[in-house]
Amino acid sequence: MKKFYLFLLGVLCLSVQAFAQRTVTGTVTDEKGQPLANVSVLVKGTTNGATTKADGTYSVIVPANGKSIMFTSVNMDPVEMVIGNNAQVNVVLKQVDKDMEEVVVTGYQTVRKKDVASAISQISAKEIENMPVANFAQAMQGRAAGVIVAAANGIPGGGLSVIVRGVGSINAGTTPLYVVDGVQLNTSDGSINTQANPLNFLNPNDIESIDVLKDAAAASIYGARAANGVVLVTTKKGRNGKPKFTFDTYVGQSKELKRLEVTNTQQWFQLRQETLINAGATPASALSQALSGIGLPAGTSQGKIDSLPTYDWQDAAFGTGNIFNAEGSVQGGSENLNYYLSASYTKQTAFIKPTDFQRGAMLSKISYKINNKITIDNSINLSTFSQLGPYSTGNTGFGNAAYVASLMHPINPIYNADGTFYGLPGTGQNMIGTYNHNIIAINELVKYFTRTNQLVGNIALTYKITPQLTLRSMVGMDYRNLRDHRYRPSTVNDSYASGGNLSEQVDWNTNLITNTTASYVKTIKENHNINALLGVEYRKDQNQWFQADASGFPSVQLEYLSAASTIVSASGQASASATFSQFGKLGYSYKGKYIFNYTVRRDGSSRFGANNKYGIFNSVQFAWNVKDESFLKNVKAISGLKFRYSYGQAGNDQIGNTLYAQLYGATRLYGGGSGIFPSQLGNPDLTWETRVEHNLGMELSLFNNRVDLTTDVYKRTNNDLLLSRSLYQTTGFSTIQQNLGSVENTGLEILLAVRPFVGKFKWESSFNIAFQKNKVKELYDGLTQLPGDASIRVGSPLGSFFTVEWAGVNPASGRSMWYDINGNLTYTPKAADSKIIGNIYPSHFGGWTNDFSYKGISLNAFFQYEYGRVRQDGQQINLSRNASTIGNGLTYMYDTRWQNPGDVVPTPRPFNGQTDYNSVSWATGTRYIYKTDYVRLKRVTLSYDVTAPIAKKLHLQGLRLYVQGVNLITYTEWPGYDPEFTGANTGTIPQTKSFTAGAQIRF
Amino acid sequence: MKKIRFKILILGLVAGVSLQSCKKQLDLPSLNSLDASLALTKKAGIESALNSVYSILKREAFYGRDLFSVTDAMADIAFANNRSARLISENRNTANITTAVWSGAYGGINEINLTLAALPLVTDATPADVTRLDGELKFMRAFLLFELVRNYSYIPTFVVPSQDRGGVVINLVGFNNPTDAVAYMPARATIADCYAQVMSDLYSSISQLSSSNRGRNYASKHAGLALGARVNLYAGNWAKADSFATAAITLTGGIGAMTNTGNYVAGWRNADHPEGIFQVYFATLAENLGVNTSLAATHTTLKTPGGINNFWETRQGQGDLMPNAFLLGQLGITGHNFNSNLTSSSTQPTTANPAGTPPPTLTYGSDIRNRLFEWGVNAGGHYVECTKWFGKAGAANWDHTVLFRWPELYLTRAEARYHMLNEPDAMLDLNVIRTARIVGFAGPATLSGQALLNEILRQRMLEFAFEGHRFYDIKRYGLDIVKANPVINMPATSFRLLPALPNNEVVGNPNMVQNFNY
Repeated sequence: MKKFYLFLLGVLCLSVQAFAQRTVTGTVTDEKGQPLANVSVLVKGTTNGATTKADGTYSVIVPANGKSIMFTSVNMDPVEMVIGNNAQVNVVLKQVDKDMEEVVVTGYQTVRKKDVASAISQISAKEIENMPVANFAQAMQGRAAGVIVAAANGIPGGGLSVIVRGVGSINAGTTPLYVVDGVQLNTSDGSINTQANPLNFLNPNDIESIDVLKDAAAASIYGARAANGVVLVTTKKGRNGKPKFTFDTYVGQSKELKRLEVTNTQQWFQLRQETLINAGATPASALSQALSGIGLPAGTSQGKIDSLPTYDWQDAAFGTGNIFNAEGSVQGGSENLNYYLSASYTKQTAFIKPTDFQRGAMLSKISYKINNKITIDNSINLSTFSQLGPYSTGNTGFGNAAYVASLMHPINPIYNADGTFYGLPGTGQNMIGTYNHNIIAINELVKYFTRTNQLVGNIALTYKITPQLTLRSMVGMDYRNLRDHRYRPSTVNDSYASGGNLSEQVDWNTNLITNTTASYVKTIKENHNINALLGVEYRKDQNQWFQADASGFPSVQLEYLSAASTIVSASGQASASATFSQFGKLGYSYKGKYIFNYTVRRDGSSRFGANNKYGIFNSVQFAWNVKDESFLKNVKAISGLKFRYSYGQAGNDQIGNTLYAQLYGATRLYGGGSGIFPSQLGNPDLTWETRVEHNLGMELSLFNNRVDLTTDVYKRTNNDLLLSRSLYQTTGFSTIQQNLGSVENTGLEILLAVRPFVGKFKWESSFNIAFQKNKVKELYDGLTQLPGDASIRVGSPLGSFFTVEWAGVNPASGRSMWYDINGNLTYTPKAADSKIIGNIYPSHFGGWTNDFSYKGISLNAFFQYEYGRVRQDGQQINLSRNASTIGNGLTYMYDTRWQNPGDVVPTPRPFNGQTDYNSVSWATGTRYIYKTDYVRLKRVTLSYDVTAPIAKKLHLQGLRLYVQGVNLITYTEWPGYDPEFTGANTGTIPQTKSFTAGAQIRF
Repeated sequence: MKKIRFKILILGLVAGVSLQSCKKQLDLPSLNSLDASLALTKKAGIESALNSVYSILKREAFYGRDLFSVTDAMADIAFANNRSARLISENRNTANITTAVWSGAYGGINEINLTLAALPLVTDATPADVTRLDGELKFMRAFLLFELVRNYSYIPTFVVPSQDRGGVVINLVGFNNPTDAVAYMPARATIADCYAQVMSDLYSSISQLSSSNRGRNYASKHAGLALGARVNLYAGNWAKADSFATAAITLTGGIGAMTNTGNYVAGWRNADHPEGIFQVYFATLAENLGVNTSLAATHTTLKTPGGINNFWETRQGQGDLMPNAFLLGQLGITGHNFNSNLTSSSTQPTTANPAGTPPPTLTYGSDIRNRLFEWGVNAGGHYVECTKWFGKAGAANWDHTVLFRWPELYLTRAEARYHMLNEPDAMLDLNVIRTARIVGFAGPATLSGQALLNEILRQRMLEFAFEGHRFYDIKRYGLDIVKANPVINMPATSFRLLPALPNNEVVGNPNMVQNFNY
């Protein structure tokens, strides 16, 4: 009805004023002269309006009192044109100034970069584009100052650790909170086969930006989940305009970074005799025992020994990995609707078979403006990824190719003359030595298959009640279903006796989140900006899994439960957690110069004891845009200067779901009946760890933004650590969870970006470095070391090695020596001789990226580095046995072993059983701890964009061709396969180097 | 416009109502565990709690492996061959070789204490149920405390007074709240007090358990009497050891019976040993300890008896702990033609030698017990391996563990009677065993004095080889541990005879004393 009246009114006006009105036409274009459609054209002070057509033209009726026309469009600066006497008004709209547009996602809000008052690192789509990795977190490596990203191993789509500003917890988790388009993710990995990182669901090329909330003040709005930092991921969305298609593909290969040089059969045989002689055997007996050890009769001639073969198992196990990716997207929109749709397929195989990763993913983002006040947004990310798992993700299993390839006794053939595998069980052929599984055969015979189906999506309704007040409700879901199928046929050693083994597992995660926020933005008297936010949120996480194990299969072709003769066991569990929260923010800025923010969040969590279920987290932030002060306004050299200080609190709730409760577990069995037992004492006072942090930052831009420097210093204390307090086991319990002790992290982060050349030849360079220090400030009861873990000591950092120092080889006896606490040499150091040796976290690390471009050619080179970290290498330990067991070892150990009194060498005498009599265990102490320091050329990309005329001829918007190399050059003294790993590094698939070539087409 | 506003109002209302109920949503108790206050209120809960206590015995640190294999590696009958680098330090008697029963045993004792306290309040159990449950729980508390004191302390019959740091902690009250547990600072009781507490529980148990029983997988009157005989033998209470053994031998409705030379080997091939009085029962395949640490995997590479007939057969277990040459000699096994590492080699079949060259044929004496020892497969050479465990319960690595067998009753009584200066009756019991084990045993000359004791101990060694008796026999008499390979000559006065208490138990507790020299 309303419209009808309006129409009527219009007609009336028209008839009255007909004599005075006229029609004005024109064309609206952008800076490049391209016509702009859907530009709103309004005669100021009237309701007369129109929108431009596809060719940019418009026609509008201007009444007599119409003086000027307003042109507005999304992402364009509005323009007002005075009509005067013109019948035609053409206008050029400019893109909104980039600097003005640059926004930072801060959690429930985006704010202008200028208004940010806390430590946030932003990674743009461009930096991680087309990186051949399975998930975005890995692509973050080296990009954000102060964020350590370490892949656990080289399994495509495998685990990784992301640590923001150092570790603050001893027993609770250290994983940051991941939020994708407002949906908080569950990052637990339930696979029994391989590492199925839940972050794999997202195609990294669908990401618009990643913002890492580093300091507690920035993260504080996420309350009890925020203590390890927050990673906010924003996916791409449609922009107004015609549909834009992109097609993107790359292919490539990966290879191992390194092989380890191991002894041949003759060298090994020599060593074997020495180990036996050194352990007391006569040379004659040593010879016969060494022969017996490799299945040869006593009296075998030297000539026969000299002609024994050597097989290269690393060569057989290490192949070439393949990389393939193809994806397409379309985006566009009109005034009311915009959309971004993408589909992708990616496949990566590891260089050790059969491990791989395949993903198909779809992202659909649609935003519909119902009217000027109400908008509905919908985002659905559907993905399915499958992985063939390795025989083991990293342990000393004899069938694990990554572990055994270097350790296999070299006398063992890989294949028989007829091409079949050598040494399979039941064939009458036995592999020689400890490592008696044909790993190449096993890789081919076993089937470890994991499938993850994941949905991450949300629906949001935004209601602009008034221009100042906006209400937004969001419902989001992160649903994941993982299925493991783990089949070892009876043809492999581990399942020969049982007739084949099968485990089937299904794991469901349902993670629901909903929140409603009200935000209020108002400018009072031009200078006072107020920005307030209020919200409530509820999140519930549920996990359920069950597993069945069976054995005894009539044929290797039959690999499902119904064919099994025995169901060995079946198990399953369920658990859930929930939080209910209220939060708010009050921001005030004066002329954009002085910025003040206060945030508060109250969290209630199901994970904590009745006495401490609720907690409140506050933050305050101040920023001063000095550049806006009159005294700097005219200093040309300085194009921007801002200081900020923040203080905030955040919590860490990453502990078990029901640790507060006094419970009887039900996991024991006896005599066919189940057994219940007091599994935990409970603690009704249990609550979160609290992190408080001071952060001081400076952002400086010089010479018209040619130099950008951002520095942050912080001091952060984690209090009330969730600690397993040791109990005397005579109570029947060994630990109880309490909130005790504190850890302090301090650090300095520097980001320096320079643009030395900005003309036709462009060079942009960005370097970041972070220095970190960590120490345990306090434990409990005045203890200076944690009972049960002597490496956790007041005054020393977490992640320390606390052990005795190896003193090298005694030149007289060839035996390993150690230092006691007084620095004297000993063969039998005691626990009390231990000291802090080094740390598994780097002291300084970062990245350096360089972009060169000239016309259509650009080169990007990205270096990444880590210093000040040491690790023990489990693979190296096992390769140092020098034939003391029947397995292979490093040539280095052979070459540098002690042989005669007086030899000054780094490797002790070979000794059967490895540990010399009356000595501590051979693996004791620092001998196997090495520096992992490295600098690597993480990524180098050379690309060519065809020029616009050529593209036009091809009917394309653009075409880019590129080649890319990852991990091409590494400088390190680390002796093992690769210094980048977490954990013990025993039998893990190492990182690889890869080459890819790709094309990106826009049309 | 109006309509949309209305819709939003509805949405808002729905959201508001659902948020209201969120507070309740924060109460999410464990779905996999029971709230402690509900666990022991019914008879079914008590039975399950008792199952849990039995299940502790299945662990590797208990009768899954260690109380047999670790102790025998430390004694003088075994050789750890370094095939999988297991049991090497144990075999070399280095310092602080622990049969790590501490945490498991005290966990079990705490469970028993809590369950005993809850038992009288259970409403749905008959008085007979309560009596039986109380009896089984007390048996297990006695047994666990006995395991603690015999492993961490001297045995009363041989104490080095200057090195004696007492028995272990006696705790008869369960812990069910954090405050008490944090405040607990226990002290070690004397060895005598520990043995007295074991016997006190055992008397109560035996009096409550009737002759009817739940079989050898559970505590029974028969098991209680057998344990009583063993405890008193260790304590040097010879008369009581005699009377407990006699009561067990003569018990009506007892469990199991002796085997003889005819069915001895068959008895060992049975899933349930017919001589067993009390065994640890691994009811399902999934409960076995697997290819690395099960008893079968520890002791043999063979899949089936006589596997060496195909001497290039696929290796099944690790085969880490082997009889040494001394034990093989005592068992009467010769012809093994060992090299100094106790292996013999074979060669693989070739076209020139289609049969290959197997290890030499073994010669067996008349002691039937040696039939449980035979060549294993070639895995760095062949060893003679013990085949008492073979996956007899139905699949690889799956065996029940017999803790009390009939022969122990006779050998215990023989030893007790020897000390009671009743040598004729001691001889009688000794000959019961020798007759049952030696083909054509004719009862040779009567032994007396030290020779008689030595023979009783020798029979214990042969009868219970790899069943976890020998080390304690050495410890009881303060014998030196002498081994040729590895070369070990450890006097019983060495501090290494005892392990250290777990270090965390001593740190911060002034009442707690660590063992000598640790």
